[in-house]
Parts: sequence; C-alpha cells; structure tokens
Amino acid sequence: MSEPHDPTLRAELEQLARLGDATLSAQQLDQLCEAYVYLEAMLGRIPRDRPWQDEPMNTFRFPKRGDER
Amino acid sequence: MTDLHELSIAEAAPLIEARRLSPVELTEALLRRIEALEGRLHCFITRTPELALERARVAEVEIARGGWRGPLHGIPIGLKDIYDTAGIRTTGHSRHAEHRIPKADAAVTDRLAKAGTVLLGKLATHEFATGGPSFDLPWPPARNPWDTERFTGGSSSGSGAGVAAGLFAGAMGSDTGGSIRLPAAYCGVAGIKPTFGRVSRRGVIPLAWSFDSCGPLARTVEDSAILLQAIAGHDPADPASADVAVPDFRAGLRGGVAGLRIGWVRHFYEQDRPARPEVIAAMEEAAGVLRGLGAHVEEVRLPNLKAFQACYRIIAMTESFAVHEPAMTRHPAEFGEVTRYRVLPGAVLSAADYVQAQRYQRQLLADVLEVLRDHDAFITATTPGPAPKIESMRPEANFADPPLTAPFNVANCPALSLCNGFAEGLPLAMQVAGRPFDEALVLRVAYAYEQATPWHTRRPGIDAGGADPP
Amino acid sequence: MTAATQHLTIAEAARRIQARQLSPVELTEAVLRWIEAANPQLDAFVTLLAERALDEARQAEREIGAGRYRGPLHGIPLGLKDIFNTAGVLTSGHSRVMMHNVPRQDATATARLREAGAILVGKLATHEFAHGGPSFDLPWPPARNPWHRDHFTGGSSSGSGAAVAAGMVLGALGSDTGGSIRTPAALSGVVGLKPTYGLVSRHGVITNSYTFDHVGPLAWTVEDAALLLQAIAGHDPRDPASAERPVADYRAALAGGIKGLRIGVLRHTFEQDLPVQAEMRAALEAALDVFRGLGAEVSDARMRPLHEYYAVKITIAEAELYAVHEGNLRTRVGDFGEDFLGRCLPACLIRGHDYVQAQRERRVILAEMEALYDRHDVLVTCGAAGPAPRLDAWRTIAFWQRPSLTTPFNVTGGPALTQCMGFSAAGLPLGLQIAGRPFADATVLRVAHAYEQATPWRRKRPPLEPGAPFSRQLPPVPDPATAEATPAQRDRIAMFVRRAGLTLSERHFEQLCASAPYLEAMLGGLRKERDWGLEPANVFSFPRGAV
Repeated sequence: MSEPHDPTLRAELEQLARLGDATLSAQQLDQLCEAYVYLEAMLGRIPRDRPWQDEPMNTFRFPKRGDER
Repeated sequence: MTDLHELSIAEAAPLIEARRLSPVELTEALLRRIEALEGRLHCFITRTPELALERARVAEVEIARGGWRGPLHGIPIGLKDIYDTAGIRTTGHSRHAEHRIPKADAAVTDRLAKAGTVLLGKLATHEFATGGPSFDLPWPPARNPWDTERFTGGSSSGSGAGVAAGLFAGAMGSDTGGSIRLPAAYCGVAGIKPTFGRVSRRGVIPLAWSFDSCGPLARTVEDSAILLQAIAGHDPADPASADVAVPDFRAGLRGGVAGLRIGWVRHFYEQDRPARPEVIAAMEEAAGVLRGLGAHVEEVRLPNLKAFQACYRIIAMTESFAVHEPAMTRHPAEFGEVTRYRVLPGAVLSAADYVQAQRYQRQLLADVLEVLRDHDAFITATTPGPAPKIESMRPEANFADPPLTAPFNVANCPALSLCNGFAEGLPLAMQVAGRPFDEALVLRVAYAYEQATPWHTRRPGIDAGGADPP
Repeated sequence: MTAATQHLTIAEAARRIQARQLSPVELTEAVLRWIEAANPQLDAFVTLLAERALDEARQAEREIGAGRYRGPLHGIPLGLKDIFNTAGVLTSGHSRVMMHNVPRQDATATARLREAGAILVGKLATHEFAHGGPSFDLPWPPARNPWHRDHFTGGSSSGSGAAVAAGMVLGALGSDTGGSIRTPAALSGVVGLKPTYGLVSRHGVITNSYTFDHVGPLAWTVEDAALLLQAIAGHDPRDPASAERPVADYRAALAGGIKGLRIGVLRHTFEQDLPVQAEMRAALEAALDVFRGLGAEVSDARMRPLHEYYAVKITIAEAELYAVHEGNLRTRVGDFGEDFLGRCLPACLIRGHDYVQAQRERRVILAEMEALYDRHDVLVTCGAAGPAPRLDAWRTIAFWQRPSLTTPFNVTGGPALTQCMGFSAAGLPLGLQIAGRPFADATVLRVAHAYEQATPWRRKRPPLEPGAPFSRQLPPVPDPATAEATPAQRDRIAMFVRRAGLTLSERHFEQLCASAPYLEAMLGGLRKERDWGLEPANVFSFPRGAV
C-alpha cells in the first residue's frame, strides 16, 4: 500500500520478525506492516478480560494405552 | 456409454464390479484427458501414469478373480500434494520441499490404496496449503476449468480444478480455514470438510494443527460419501483422531430433509461480509428448495463472522509460523512471496494472543453448539461471489475479508460446499454444516438439494478449447 | 491442651469416630482451640471458619449418631488452599485482586469433601494466585514453617503444608503447577501428592496454568493422603481435562510392600542438574537403603536435564497465567504483589510460536518417558534442594535462575509424591520425592507407605510453643534484582511491555529486565527444527455432551 507506515510500528515489527539470521527486505517489511493493519484489527476482537474459568480450547489428555489396568 | 470422464464414482463402480468397465480402460481415458487439458489447467505437481496403469491392471486382475473391494476399486483419484506418498515426491507445492520423497504413506493415502483406488498423481495446492495463488514457485497455480483466467480457490486447487474438469472423479484436499470448500465452490463441485478428528492427518503436511481436516472433493455428494467412507475412522497415530463410530454415509443419503430443522445463517453473507446479489438470490432459492422438500428452514444468528475470523487467524497464524519458523527464518528465499506474507505475521503474535484466542474458540464453539441443539444443520453461502480473476488477487485480501468458511473450522464441525447456481457462467456455492460427527446428516441435506436442482449436471466449457494460460 | 487429639491421623480419628469413641464436635473443638493457640505464630489461615466448622461437626455427629456414617472423612476437620471455591466463603487466591471474591458455588473437590462428610475448618494461605514465592506485600502474611517460624513453608500450598504439619487440620487440599503441593510437603515435613493430571477435577479451583494445574492432598501420613485422594478422584464433566478412567482403591493398594519393585534413582537430577545440600543427599542415600532393605530393586535412572522440563513448563505455564490475569494486569497491575509480577510479567516476552514449540517439545518428552516407565515402577529424587530456607532469603530472580526438582512431573503429568525422609541438623524436614507412570497413583502411594512404615519420621511433630514470645515482623519486600541489560535490550523489553498494553513502575520494569535473559535463553532453546507431524501436546476435542 502506498500510505507510509508508522515508523515506530515499523521498527517494532522489524524487531519482532527478526528471528534467527534472517532479516527482512524493505519490501517484505512493507508487506508485514500492511498485513499487520488487519492483524491488529483481529487482535482487537479477542476478549482479554474473561473469567479465569474459561479454558483454552485445546487441553491435555493422556492417550489411552492398550495395557492399562 | 457416456464419455468415461463423465462417470461419477457411483456410476463407474457397478460397471467395474460387473466387469463391464475395465479400470485400465478408465485410467487410460483419464490419462489421455489429463494429457490434453493439463497444459491449460496445471492441476498436477507430479503425474504418476505408469504407476496408475499398473495399479489399474492389478485392480482389473483382482476384480476378475472375484476380489472386488468396494466402490473405489479401480477408481482413479488424485491427492493434494501435501499427502505423503511413499516413494513419490510430496512437495507441499514448495521449493523448500521440491525433492522431498517420503518413506511412508499418509494414513489417507494408505486407506485409499487399500480401497483399490488408482493414483493418477499429486495435485497443485498453495505453498504448504497456505500462500496462494503464487507465480514464484517451481510450479504454477492451477486454473479454473470454467475460465482459466479465474482462480480455482485454494488451497486444494488442483483437487477442485481436476474434479471439475473431469480429470478424475474424486480427489483429496485438506481444509484448515476453507481449503476444501473454497475450491469446491469456485470450481462448482462438492467438497466436504469432515468433523475435526474424523479422518486421520498422519502423514499430511500440517498448516495449523488445531484446525487441519482431511476430506474429499468430488462432482457429486454421493461420491463424496463414498470417498469419506474409505478414509474415516480412528487412527491412534493422529493425536487428534477421535474414537467415534463411523456410520454408513451412503446408506442414509436418500433419507430426505422432511422435518429437519435447518438454521439459515444469512447474516454471514448479508451483513458480516456482504455478498453479491446473485449469491444472495441463489441462497434464497436454495432455502426455498429445501423448504419445498419439507425442511423447516429458519434464520439463525451465530457470532459475527469477524469474530470467527479473528479467532481462526490468530490460532492458525501462530501455529503455521511454528510449523515453518526455523526454515522460513533460515532460508526465506525458499518460500514464495505470498507464503511469507501469510506466515510471517505469525511472528508478531504473543503467547497471550494465542491462549486468549483459544479461550475465545471455546466460547465460539459453545455458541455454535447452542444453536445446533435446536437445529440439525446450517446453510450459508460459501463465498461472497464467483471466482475472481487470478491476476487480480492480492495477498492482503486474505486478511482483510472474513472467510465464510472459517466458522466451521473454529467450531470444527462438518461442513460441505456444493454448487447452488451460476453467475456470469461461473459457479456459486452453498455450505451445509452440521453437528460434530454428523457428516451423515450434512451429506443427506446436500444430497437432497443436489438431486432437486440441476447444478451438478453442468460441466465447464474446458473441452471447447482455448489458449493455454501464460 | 490435649495435643494428642488434634495430632490424630485421619485414619485413626476416623476409626474412633466410626466406633463413636470420638465425637466430630469434640475433635473440631480441639482443633479450633489448637488453631487459636498456634496459628498466630504460623499465619496458615486466610479465613477461619470456626462457627461453620462447629455446625458441620454437629451435623456430622447427628448423622453418625443416626447410623449414617459416610466413610473415613466423615467428621474430619480439613482445610482448603484459598484457591478452592467455597460457596458463600471468601476465596481470595491470597490476592488483593480477589480479596472480596465470594463464589456462589463450591469447586468440585470442595463439594466432594463435603459429600464425604468432611468439616471445613478454614481457607489456607497460599502464594498469590498459587504462584509467586513468599510475599510481604499482600493483604495477608505468608504462612510460616512450624518447624522454624523464620523459615519458609515452601509454596504455593503454604498454609496447607504448615497447617497439616502443625496439626491445625488433619488434612488439606493444595494445588501443584510446578511443585506447589510437593514443595510445601517437603519443607513442612508432611506428605503431599500431586496426582496424575486429569485424575482430580480442577473445576472451581482458581487457575494458575490450565495445562499443568493439578489438585491433590497434603496430609500427615501416606494413608491419610490416600483417603483424601479417594474422596476427590474421579471424572468430572465440568473439567475439560478430566480423565474418564476407573478410580482405584488407594487405601487397599497401600498394602503388599515393595519387594521386587523396580525403583529408578534420578541421580543426575540432584547430583548434577541441581546439586542438593549434603544432608539432603545423605538422607536420600539412607532412603535408598531403606528401599533396598524392603526388597526393592534400586538402580539409577536418567531423564533429561532438569532445565529442559523447566523451560517447557515455564513457557507454557507463564503464558497461561499471564492470559488468565491479562485484563487486571493491564488495568490494575499495582494490586498484584511484586513477587507474583516478577514471575508473571516476563510472559509478555513469550510469543505464540514459543508457546506452540514448548507444547510440541512436551509431546516428545511424554513419549520418551515410556521407556523409563517400562524399566522402573517408580522414580525417586529429592523433594527439594535442601531444607526450608529463611523467609528473608527469598528472591524472585531465583525462580528464573534455576530449575526445580518437582517440575519434571508436571510436564510428564504422572503422579508424584513428597514425604519426609529425615531432618537437617537444624531440625528442618528433608523431602523425598517418588514419581510414577500416569494413573499409577496407587503404586506411588504404596512405595511411600512402605517407606513411611519403615522409618521413624512420623513420630516427630513440629516443636510449637503457643504463647512463647514471637515477633510477627515480616522481612522487607526485597528490591528487584539488578538488571544487566544493555540500553538496546531495555528498549526491546520496553517494546514488548508497550505492545502488551502494560504500564509498569520502575521496580516492576527492573525486575522484568533482570528476568528477561533467563526466559529468553529458555525460549531460544525451544526454537529448533522439528518434524511437521510433531503436534502440540494439547489437542482439540469437543466438549462432553457435544458428541
């Protein structure tokens, strides 16, 4: 997109995307900033303050074993 | 006899069983058709014609000896190139895995082989089932047989296009956020995403473990039922596989919809992501057809599509980044641009984002299940319009617009897409979704609708010729 | 003061109650008198329920008098860590954030104890939200060790450990996310069992980490722990992680001895990974001799280095804890204690994929354990690195600097029990830890019971002197550890804090900067190439009743 991205955000995203040895090209960083606009909107839709009783969807369970007593 | 490529699995199977049709003859006919059309459709990453003929001959011999295995014996199929095939390259449509040859079959590959199917080859997808359509990969994206300028939908692109074009009657796809139903919709075929846990994912390259589901694409609902029957069932090697009894999906197909309570989720495509008028009209008509067949169709409300989108994307992006993290950060050039665009933002999500999205998923699932207490199934549109031009597609659209398919991934319920009309000569589609592990009812509703409407008999004009895509 | 009455075991008290030689009212009154005398020095209670307890005792007496004896917990005074929901009774999590929280319903474990006829004497001290170390900036003081009141009880089921050791309750429930039942059991010289994950319902117990929270008993003897486990074990549809497995007869399983049983000694854990104090090691060697003397086959066993379990546990658990409190951390961070924040806030540095990688690593760990379980019926190691340290010695940074001996069994999810294996020269208890295969809780209890019967440690109670002069003065809240972060590192941490929507004081930020390098090292260790097919250990399944 043509509109310039917030330089602070851009710097943050660059840091966050820097894992291991890879660094992003200017174009890749542009794309990340572009995608982030949508991502941020999605993050805003996730409730943050809910009762502690509300469990995550995925849970741990031991698999059943054939030889179980 | 009609052209062999026109035969559905349900039509071909009794002929093969009765030895009036040879699997070799059928396979040869399809190989010829692939030869003729593949240059325009780009459905395949890897073709396996010799292997196919060999398997067809084996099937023929077995059947001749009275060893008919069932309705898939001698039936040619294709596999999305994320299903491991022992000794056959399985690339995920990626340069990163361009020369990857698995040692073992995926569970589904194995089950289909045991059912006697004939593997024609490995099918185009989006890179690792996520980023597409892309033009910077070792293989081009598949093309829509209704109009080769159009997108097939993804990521089971080759599966959708090949089934629609009659290159094979059935194929395997996978669906994490809509990747079976979207190509089924744009290509005008049937595609069912079974309940999460219904079909083993062992040996299938993951996109996001919390949602990945394996399922078939076929031209008819009945063929979908036949294929699903072969692949469904518990597999202890898949940690998410459910130990739930598998019914006879085909037996219940003709039960009709009289008396069923069907929840019509209009707000998804009328308000949350406004669809084109043709889509809205096609859905009105479809609701009318189902009412005409005796179903009680009534409007229901689910959470906003954007809520499902947020929950789905945050979980899926986190997991798909975790899948590809080391490779993508060490060898970024081995991935296509669109893939990087889709996967890399996963790096910026926090663990709290992921855990909160998972907590939200439990709530959204509860909301869906609550409505399913009083309703046997849902109907809604699959896409807001027909297939767009492939050249016009921009990667950010994937993030901007909430997909109509994702709610049933968040709820991990079974959902099927089938054609419910046409706009500008391109297919439109409707989803039928149902209760966990009640694929039988989803198939039954879809079958009743399909049989009452002419859409499944229409064929793309690919045979009429046309230039190969650039 | 009849010290004997409140120092009865559950098993003995139950025998007398059933035989109507002891009245639940009489027992409860004795316990309450003892609490009144001893608790001012121990601060084991957040809420004492004297009147209600007496009412419950009178009801138990009537029922038993009418011939409706419910079983071995009927009329027995017990306590609950203050994270177990109790209908109509404050359930504070020992936190200012929930200091007025009165739940409407009982936790499943609370309800099961009530159904068994137990008498709830009170709600017991913990660390804030079952996390954090001893804190001196919360609305209630931390519990003190009955063996020496200037020493730590171990946590986070601190009040449970202290109250059981002191005989202020005959048994208690605690919770264990990284060692929070076993550590106070070790440091307070009692028995603490973290049952197999999923065996006891977590419903209605304030969450620390969804993935690693376990509910279990603390008691004076192994038999008492078995009786408590019996009452609370079993499937609960309201807990999504609850296992649908048959429940054993844990008391019956105690008998039979351990002749021929294969005991694996996780020697590297206490010799290399976390070298324990000399008297601890000597006590463990002596315990191994006891096992040999009982006919067990004792051999060395090896699991991964402790820090690998620790990294998996911290990454998952701190992320979940942070998510539980995210709303309050954003809006009222100052209402949390500093030690809690010192553990919880660094979670803002954990990314989604770190969490997923830790979940995948856990699946590998679980698979590796199978070979160990095949070779050994139980695994043993120390229950703690040494006897209880002084309360004023605690520093939050220690949580980040070194792994623990208990955490591996939260990651494996199998049963793990800690019991007393002697005393230090200073008279503080030393803890032995016994772990087992998932759902082999009965085997672990049997080994512990055999050891307990063969050793004299249960004959000694803490040397409490009610009324003796005692200063309730708390140590000062320790200053944050010194962070050696560069300005660039600080900027980076500040970025994560900002992105998380947090507003931190300088102290909080300093503590975070000091912890960050330890956490980042753990996360870095988890970033590695893995097979595509290797899934996270937590998986989707439909809620019960949906299928």
